[in-house]
Amino acid sequence: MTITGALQVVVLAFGGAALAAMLSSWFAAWRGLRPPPYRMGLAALGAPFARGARLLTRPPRSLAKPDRLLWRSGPILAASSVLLAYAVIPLGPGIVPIDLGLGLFYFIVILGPLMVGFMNAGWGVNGKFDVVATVRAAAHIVAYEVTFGFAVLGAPMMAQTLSTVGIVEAQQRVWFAVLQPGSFAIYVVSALFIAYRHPFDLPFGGPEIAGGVGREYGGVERAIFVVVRHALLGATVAIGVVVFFGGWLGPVLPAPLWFILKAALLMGAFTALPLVLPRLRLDQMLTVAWKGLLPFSLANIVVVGLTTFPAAAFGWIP
Amino acid sequence: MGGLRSFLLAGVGPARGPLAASGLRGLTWRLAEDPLEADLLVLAGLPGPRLAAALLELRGQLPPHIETLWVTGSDSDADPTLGAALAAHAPLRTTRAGRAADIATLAAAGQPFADPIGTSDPIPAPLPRLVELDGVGDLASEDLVLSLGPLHPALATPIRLILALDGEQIRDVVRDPGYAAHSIAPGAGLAARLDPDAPVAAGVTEALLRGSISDIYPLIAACERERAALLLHACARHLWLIGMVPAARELQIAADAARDGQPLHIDLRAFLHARWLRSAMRLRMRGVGVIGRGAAERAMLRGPAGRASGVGDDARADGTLAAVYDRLGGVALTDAPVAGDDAARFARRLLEADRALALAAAATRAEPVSVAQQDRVELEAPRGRLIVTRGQDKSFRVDPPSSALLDLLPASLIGARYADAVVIVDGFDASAEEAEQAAPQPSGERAA
Repeated sequence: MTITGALQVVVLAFGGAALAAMLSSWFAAWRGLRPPPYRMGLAALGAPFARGARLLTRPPRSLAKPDRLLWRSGPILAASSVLLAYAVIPLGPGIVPIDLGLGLFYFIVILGPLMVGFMNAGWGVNGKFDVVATVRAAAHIVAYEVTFGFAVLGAPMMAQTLSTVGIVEAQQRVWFAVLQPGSFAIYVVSALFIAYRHPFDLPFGGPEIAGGVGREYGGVERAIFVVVRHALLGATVAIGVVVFFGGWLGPVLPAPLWFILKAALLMGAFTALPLVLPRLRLDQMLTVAWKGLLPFSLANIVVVGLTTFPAAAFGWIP
Repeated sequence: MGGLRSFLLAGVGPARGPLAASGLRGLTWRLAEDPLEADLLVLAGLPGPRLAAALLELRGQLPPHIETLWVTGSDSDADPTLGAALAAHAPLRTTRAGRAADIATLAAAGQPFADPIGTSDPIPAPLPRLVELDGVGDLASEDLVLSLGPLHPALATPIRLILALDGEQIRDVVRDPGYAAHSIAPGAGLAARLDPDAPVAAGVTEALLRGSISDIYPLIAACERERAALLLHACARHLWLIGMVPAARELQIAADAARDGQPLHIDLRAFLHARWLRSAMRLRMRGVGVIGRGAAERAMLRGPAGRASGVGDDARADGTLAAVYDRLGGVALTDAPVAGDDAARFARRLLEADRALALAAAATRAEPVSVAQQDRVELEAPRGRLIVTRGQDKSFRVDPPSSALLDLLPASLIGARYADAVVIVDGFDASAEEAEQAAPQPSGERAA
């Protein structure tokens, strides 16, 4: 990866995190938890950065008996994992940090250490609530990884490549969201799982575990954790735009603008729509994943395979 | 006020906490999610001795630049010992009433709170944990022992529940009372011993015991509005706890309107029957914390929780003011569920709030009726039948509805999933403050 590519990764990750934070603030305002952005004027654009700066000025927290190595490594591992996931996100033709032939596979695999980071963060505290949250987070991640993999597997089947750039270029005529509605539905649920968003945010949002994983961090580490969670949503949305909505493809507007527009709309939907759902219990989340999504995604792979032939015959895919 | 951008509220008591919170929110101060993110530690009301110890422990772990603001409810809430202990750690300011105007006056009087941005005071070492509770040592050692409370959004008033978990299943529960404030000051009236959430019902009870009332209907209207507001607030809190924040906000707005005597902006029955809410109830409330009718009757469970289990107890139908309520058209609800689970309790509260508002409206139109002085008063308070009997020595015997709720709570938790614990506790909506003031219980009472 070149220096320009590395810079792209950083800009993409922080941009994704900022977008997610702003949308979260917007909907938090709608829920009456914060002053609405229209009352803040242009300052609303800077609100996530102001909160970040505020977190950075806070002193770190001291714990009674932490496992220091695990505890300190949590934010670093999580941040590294999310940052590296952005490396294969293409903003436009030729605007991709690194165009790997196994880009989509890399994206799924590189998010694995994220879970290790979260588990270190929870276990290292040496606290009871954190142990419960950690175990929940671990069960959660194992459940989603399989279904998420199957959800995005349909795209390389039709595009005949695992490269994220190749997948976008294969959607010149029809988006895969149209050709693979089942895959898209599985992706939506799995992405909410991955990003630990409501209603699948039990490891972080359950009121019985006092804030969940990462609650004991203060100062810079807290700021990193907050940014990682927002950037994680940005990454899952970005890969969704690549796999299902034709990435940067679109008329008139510049390619990166199309990508950002699609990502913002998808992220807004991810943030707003689940608000009418209650937070699921762990057993319910696992039931959704193992008994619902997994069989459905396996069946969906067969459907996608069968759809590939007529789609190719009609010239919808290369 | 420029530097003050967030605060932590340590609300003590159900009325005082939200009251102070709304007052502070009126000043556009924001709630901090974490004590270390706060500029200010706000203590509302008077904590009980054990909660005071916990607060002092928290105060001791915060850096000194985080000042303390103590919002007391009344003069009897003043505790110089606790004040001195708090002031030993950081600057302490006190104000009364917990209303926005009072706090604004305090803030405008000068001496702005310190702007902590950029400070890096050293953090004191953590203090030793509180003394372990009697009975906890008996819990199986291989279980994970967790504490719920004493301050938790699901708890209407401070109380600590110690749960022993086997995985996600609750195996044992120890109830640890003693955190609620005992506000029975010398010379305090009877109403001070009743539910602080329902001051109107408490006032009517005391008034009936001390003399006759020439026109009861304005008081009944106020009682019913109070009941509707509290029931709606409980429902809002319940939805908030399961993550349905927008819906919770709608109900909280409705609760505020009911308290102020304003028309509601939503139809409560339509709200309850909305498909998305039914789905949510099916997912998180149905089959949770079930109390059968037999168990409810044996425990003498009253109020909306008892009626949700099929116990037909309502003091408005057979209590001191039954004849008065009869003229308003009765109080019975024929379409409310009686399954005894959390969904039934939620639906029951929502429907009873709707009925209470209708009764309040009817009471405002009713002809005046006087009620004579009583020796024994049985009123339907928001949490259930409240019985107060005059003693021979001018004392009063109080039988509050929350006692049965608290008695049943541990047994309902055992065997449940830990993720449901908060839902069950909140669904009971028991006031430890009310129960403890009426009949103090021994520390460390173990679940049967």
